[in-house]
Amino acid sequence: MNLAVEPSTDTGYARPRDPAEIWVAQRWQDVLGFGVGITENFFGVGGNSLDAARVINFVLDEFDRELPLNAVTENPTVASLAALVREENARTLSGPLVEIQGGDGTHPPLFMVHPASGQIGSYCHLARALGDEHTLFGLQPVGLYTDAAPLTTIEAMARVYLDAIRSADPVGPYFLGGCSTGAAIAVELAGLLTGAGAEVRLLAAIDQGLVEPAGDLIDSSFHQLVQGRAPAQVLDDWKKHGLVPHDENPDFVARSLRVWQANQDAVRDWRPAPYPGQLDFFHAPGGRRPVEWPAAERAHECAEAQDGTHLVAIADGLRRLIG
Amino acid sequence: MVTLAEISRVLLAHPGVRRAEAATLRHDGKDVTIAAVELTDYLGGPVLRDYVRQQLGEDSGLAGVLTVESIPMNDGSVDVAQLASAVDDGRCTLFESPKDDVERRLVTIWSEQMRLDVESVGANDDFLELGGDSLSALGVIAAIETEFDRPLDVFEFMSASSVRRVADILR
Amino acid sequence: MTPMLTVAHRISHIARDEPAGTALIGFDSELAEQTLSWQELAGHVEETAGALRALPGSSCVVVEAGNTLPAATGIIAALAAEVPVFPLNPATPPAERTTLLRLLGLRFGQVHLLQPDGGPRRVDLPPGPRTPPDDRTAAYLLATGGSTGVPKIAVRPGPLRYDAARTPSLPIRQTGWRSGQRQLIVGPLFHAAPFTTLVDSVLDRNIVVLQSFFSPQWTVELVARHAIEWMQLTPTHMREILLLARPEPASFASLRAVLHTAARCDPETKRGWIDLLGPQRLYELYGATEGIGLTLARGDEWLARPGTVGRGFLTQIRIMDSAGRRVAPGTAGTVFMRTAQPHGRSAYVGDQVVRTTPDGFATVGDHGWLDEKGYLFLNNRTHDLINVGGEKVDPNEVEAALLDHPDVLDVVALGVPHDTLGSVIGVRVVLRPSSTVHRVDLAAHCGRRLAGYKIPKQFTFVEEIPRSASGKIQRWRLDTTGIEQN
Repeated sequence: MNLAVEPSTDTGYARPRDPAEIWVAQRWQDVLGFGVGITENFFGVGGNSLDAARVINFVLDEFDRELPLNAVTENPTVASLAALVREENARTLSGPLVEIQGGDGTHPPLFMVHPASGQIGSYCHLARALGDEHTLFGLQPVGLYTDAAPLTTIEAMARVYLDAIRSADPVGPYFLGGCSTGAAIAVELAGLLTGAGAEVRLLAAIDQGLVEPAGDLIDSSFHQLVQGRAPAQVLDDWKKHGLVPHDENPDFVARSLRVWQANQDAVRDWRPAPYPGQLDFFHAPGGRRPVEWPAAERAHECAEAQDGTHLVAIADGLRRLIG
Repeated sequence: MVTLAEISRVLLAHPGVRRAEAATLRHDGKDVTIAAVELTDYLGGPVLRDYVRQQLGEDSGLAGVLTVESIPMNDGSVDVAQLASAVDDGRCTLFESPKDDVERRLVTIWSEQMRLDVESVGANDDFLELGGDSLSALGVIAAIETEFDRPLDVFEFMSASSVRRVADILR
Repeated sequence: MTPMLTVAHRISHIARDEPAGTALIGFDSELAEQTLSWQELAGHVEETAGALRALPGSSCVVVEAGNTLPAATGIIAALAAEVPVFPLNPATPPAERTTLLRLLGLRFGQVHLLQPDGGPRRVDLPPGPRTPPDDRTAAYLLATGGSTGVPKIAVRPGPLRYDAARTPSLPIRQTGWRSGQRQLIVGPLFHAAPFTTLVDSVLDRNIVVLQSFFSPQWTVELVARHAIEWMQLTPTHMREILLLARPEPASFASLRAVLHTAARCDPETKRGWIDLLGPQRLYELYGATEGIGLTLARGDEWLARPGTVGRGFLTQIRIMDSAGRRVAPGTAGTVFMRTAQPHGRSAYVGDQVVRTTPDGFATVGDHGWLDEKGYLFLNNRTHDLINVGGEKVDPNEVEAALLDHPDVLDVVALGVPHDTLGSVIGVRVVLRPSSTVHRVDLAAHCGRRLAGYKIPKQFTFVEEIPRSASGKIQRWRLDTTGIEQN
């Protein structure tokens, strides 16, 4: 068959940008059998009417919301469908534990703690690189999607997140990780868990730049906000870079700033107890930021792969350690 | 007296017929004349038999037409033994007049509904091979139900498919 | 002989008799119900038909055939204008769309796309070698799957005439269809059965409810709300309705009958529907190729002889062995059928190879046997094509689509059992060693080349696929735990 095929309009993977999109993407993964970005067309990747009906049932079961029967047909991307349940971000999806990737149960879950910005959406790239079979949870901060005041100390955050982790996995062994603030919280969590007699089999600190392509942009956004840049402008930047949905408003930027400042302060004020176990540190080849970890460190140099990211290398390393 | 050659010639003149060979053979202790034909278009044997009757008259002597992929030959002439076994097997329907009142009434109904001469409808002829279609089938069934005052199933009719076998059902 | 009317006359007669009566009920994109009276339908049809009649004689018109009022109106208008019409699946991927339009262009001098405003717009086609232009002797054209995966078009000769005795066809009339009935059309209008049913329904003065997309709960709702009397379903519809909608018999009280065709129906689904409707309100029809024959089985006949597809309807059946000899009842062989040739015989050869005997029996290659009473039973045959919810999929086509991806080294497509669809497509893929491609990328890649049901639902990455020295996939070597044998 020699059809004239139009050039590929593949826009590449676009990651979920908030808990609603993460949740919807996960339900799609449940019915389709593989992970999707937020711009893929449901039916264009093989979804059929029965799959669509299952997604609508999921929404009903989880949120007690009855979407119209043609909801998926009319909103055939994760981005457009998630807009219909966006208010759940504040209502039911604002808790600390977020399922980023369900996996198929053949691997123990990996718990990744948020970076300074509070955004766990970055870890969607990591989940994708690990593979659809892996289970990955994110821990997100208080006060990002609600008006509650953010927690201010690493210790307080670790205690709240500990409860969440144990509710998902009461027994362990535990596989933890994080970037920037999240790495510190993960160390704290590892200490708490070990102190309680649980086994921590992986404590990973990952250089944020390797996981989030827009990491530098996010950091400089917060610095600019502190210096008085208008939240609306920062919001525009974030929208352009696929970090927040298009219907997000500047309040989110204000809440993000509060969270970021709280996290910066928390790290600055952190007095870590020494952690008896090992810490696996993932960094780019060549330079690495000097960090004093209160733990024995094993460094993993992560080279850039053919796809221009370091995710493949990180994922390879993590998979070996997770088993 | 019509010759085999004339029968073959008349058949060959029919637009759907590519080859025709008439032969006389022994069946049930009697001489019968049949013709074997190769066709370019699907046609029922009884239709062609009747065509010959109309061209050459009642005395043409042609009892049946056998439709085949290719006419069996033996040494350059028609293999009469093969034709005879086709007749014995029932693959070639021989014309028979109705043998009793029931069959006569059925022949009348068939000929009316299918717009055929009464002489065209043999008691053993298959309804479809005579050129029956879905409309005339329903017409025949309805007329039979009226004439014999009893229901007749579409499926029964189709599997019986000849005047003689329908008569068996009705008796 | 009953008089035959043109489609245009028939529509205007109905509109004259009952102008305010409901002709069509459809749904817009907000699922709001819309109704067309006969007068309104006739008006729209005449308006569009007028524009179509003005087209040059060698034109055909393509209608984007979602199950909508504009699409249905467009189709009827084309038939009224006696311009050959092709219902196109609106979700046809661009490459296949181009191929289909080019195929139409080979047969017709001009191809026009019917616009939402009801006017035709000419499609730009590249100049090229053409078969001699046909005059308007085609009523409509339908895309067929084709056994090689290459899209083909089947032609129904025309122009279409309304003949009360043949609209709908006699076998359909046997299944409880009544003129003027309320009917629900569930299947897509770009498929043969729903399309021809729409045409028959409108000509036969039915009140037609067009379900705009398939959702099992919605089907049940529509049957109850509109007191639907007759509908046609595929076994996949039937399975999904049973499993997802879990209807009560009361919802179906208004139905006089349900007819199913297109694919084999599994016994559990069949029994479930017999429980819902009662055995006498369920009909099955086997034998899609026109001019060859068909069988009909009502539910009670199936209960008495589970697995039968029924007796020949105005159709004679003969089972032949491989030597061409007729076999006795109870013995299996190739199923040959012979039926009457209705006048205006369709050139509907479709995509199947048909073998014919000199005395007019034909087969599409199915195997089966007859019992003493003439009931036909079909045997499952090992077949290359994978049946996904009634649609036949050629694994070669799926494999070719994937091999077109730069990261795919090798691939084999298989049928994977599925609860409601029967089978779905699963693929084993060998990726280039340094590849970072993800399943969703391969799925989207397929989605740009293949119709939805052909997109694999299961991707397994493997090291290699066993092939013979000549390069043929050795399917018998594949580890097929959980995979259908094809």
